Amino acid sequence: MRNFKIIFAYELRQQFQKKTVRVTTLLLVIVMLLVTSIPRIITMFSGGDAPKADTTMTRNVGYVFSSVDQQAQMTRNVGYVFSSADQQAQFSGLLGLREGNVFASRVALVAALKDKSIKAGFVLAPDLAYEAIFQDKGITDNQDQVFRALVTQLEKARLMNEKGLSQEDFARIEGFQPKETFTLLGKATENNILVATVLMVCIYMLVILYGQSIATLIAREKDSKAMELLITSTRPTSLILGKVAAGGLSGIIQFSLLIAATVIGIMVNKSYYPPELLAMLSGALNRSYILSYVFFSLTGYLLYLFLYAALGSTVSRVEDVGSAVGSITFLFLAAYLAATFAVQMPASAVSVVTSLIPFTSIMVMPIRAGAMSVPVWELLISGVLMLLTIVLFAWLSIKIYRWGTLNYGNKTSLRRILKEALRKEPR
Amino acid sequence: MQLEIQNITKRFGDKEVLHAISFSVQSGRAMGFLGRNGAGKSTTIRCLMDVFKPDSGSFLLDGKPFKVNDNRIGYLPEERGMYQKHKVLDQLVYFAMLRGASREEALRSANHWVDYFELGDFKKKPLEQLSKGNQQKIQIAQSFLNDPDILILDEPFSGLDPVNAQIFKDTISSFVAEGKLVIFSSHQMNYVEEVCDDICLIHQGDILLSGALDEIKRDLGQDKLQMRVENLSVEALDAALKARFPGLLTQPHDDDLILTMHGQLTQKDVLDFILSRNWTIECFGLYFPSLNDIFIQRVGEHP
Repeated sequence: MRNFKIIFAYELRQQFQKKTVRVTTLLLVIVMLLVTSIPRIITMFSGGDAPKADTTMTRNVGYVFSSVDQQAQMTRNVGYVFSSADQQAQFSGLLGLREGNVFASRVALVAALKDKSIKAGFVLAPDLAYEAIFQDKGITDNQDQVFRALVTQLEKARLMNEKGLSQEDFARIEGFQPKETFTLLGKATENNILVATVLMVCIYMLVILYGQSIATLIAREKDSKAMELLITSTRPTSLILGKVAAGGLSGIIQFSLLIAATVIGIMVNKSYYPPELLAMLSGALNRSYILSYVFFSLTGYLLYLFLYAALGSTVSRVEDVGSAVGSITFLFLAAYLAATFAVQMPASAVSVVTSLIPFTSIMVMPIRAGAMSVPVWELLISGVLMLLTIVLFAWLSIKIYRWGTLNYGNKTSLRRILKEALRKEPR
Repeated sequence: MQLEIQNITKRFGDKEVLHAISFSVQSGRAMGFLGRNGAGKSTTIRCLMDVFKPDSGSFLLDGKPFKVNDNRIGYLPEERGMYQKHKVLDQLVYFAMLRGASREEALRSANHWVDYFELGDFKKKPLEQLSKGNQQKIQIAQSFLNDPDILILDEPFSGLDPVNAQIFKDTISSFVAEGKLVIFSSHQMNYVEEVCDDICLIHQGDILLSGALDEIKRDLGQDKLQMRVENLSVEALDAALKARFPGLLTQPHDDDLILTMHGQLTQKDVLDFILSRNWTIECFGLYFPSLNDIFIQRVGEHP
């Protein structure tokens, strides 16, 4: 235990003494602060303050534009051909048309579109049938949709009038909302998916990056021949546990800094975020999700670190680490795929099984816990299996590490390594 | 302290590399563990340090099973290696602490040995920035940390220049004088001869010779004379002696001739013969083989 602490403290200090680690952490923190400030930056460049809610509504005869902008959109660079003077008067009043907006014929309108003096045009028939004409249509050119809504509402209003209903009646009919009482027995999943996916990618990165770094750390000790001094100075158990704990914690510290930077960024820039996104964030981060995420991510991370440590000690050169740990990358990728499947179908049999297997439960269980109410027994079984597997693989990695300490040279198959590592020692 | 190596056998796969070897080492006497490359020196040392488990046999310290972790041991492995990218002092303190020192003791010990080897300017530098020779000194310094009771050094002289080798020899001698138990393996006979009190010669996994160097030399030199005569070649001297003393066993040794006395033949008989010829004696006396001679002779007997 004493040496575990010494190894842990030394490895952790060495990790954070590396200039590359400090610089990357700082850069990533800055990147996260910048990313979370994007809405504010966009607002700054578009020349406005914090966006204001659209409070200025223009109410006209029977039609309500959702904003002044929308009304302006229908007059700026838009042309109309009316079938009668009455029709022209009606629409001019509604839209606030000027002379430049009205064309005598379809031919004149098309000519104006072609020379690009207007962007969109509408040719109306007496019965409010109309033709929408565009020269080019970009993603923001939705004048046709606005016009369709306008005409629809006008026609509805006319029909109501015909039936003797007042504007108020019309508004009541249009604005009817059922009195609904909503009771949720389980969880609303739609909000969780995005946040859960982002956090799943985080844990994916954490495992891949720090697992690789632990495997490299151990292989480097063999490469530099420091291994023999280490194992004659202390027990392999202290060495592997100390290294995995230090490597693991350094990963958690770095990721915590990133998460802290993200949270700070979101809090500072909150007023610039669309309310839907904020609702999604606060809705998704419920207690059971956070608890299962923290538990399964941390324990699963530890499990994978032991796997990486074991495989790192099977090679004698740093260059061989990549190929040695390739099999874990595949295993972990399978966990990732299982988790993406669980996002879609959290209650399916496949998701239930993969949320119990320790190598996949790291990502699948938090997704399921976020998406639905997972039975307590499943959580318990999965948690216990995870802890037992960690103990098993910690023991295995110590055995393989001890075997690997002095087996330099040719690469050997994993099966043979296991056979030799677990063989009872002579005497 | 007495460390006994008893019937140690070690196999790698089907190949037995140590054949039930036995020898013992006393504290206060430096023991040179000699052998050619691949003779089994490092394997024996690694078995002693519990890096490899021997297939049979035991290590006893003062009659009790020897446990690496229960003793203060300074170990210099054959495969030199420390952390290349870590700072010199940091890793020395780390190794000292792993072997049981408190942080203060470790710092004191690490600082002492770095200064002793005149590498004080490199304390805060990564090991990889030091020259190869200086890295070797840091390696040796790590084996001296924590005032060890037992020093096990595998090929400590390789890579040292003559000045540093002298410093190292002096240090070993001072450790021996303090009553520590010192084993070092080498195939550089001159260094071993200067430093060691006892030797153990291993060849192809068998111990060929073991004991006090003086006694071994005396035993092997017993009944032997070494002589050289001015203006006479070894061959001419050899022929003249054999003509006078039929059946005499001789052996050329550089410019000298080694005679093995037998039967009634005495030193006086040989001396009288030389004087009767009026030859000028350049060298005449009892033969003490050098360690190099012993090594070549013994290993030569077991090709």
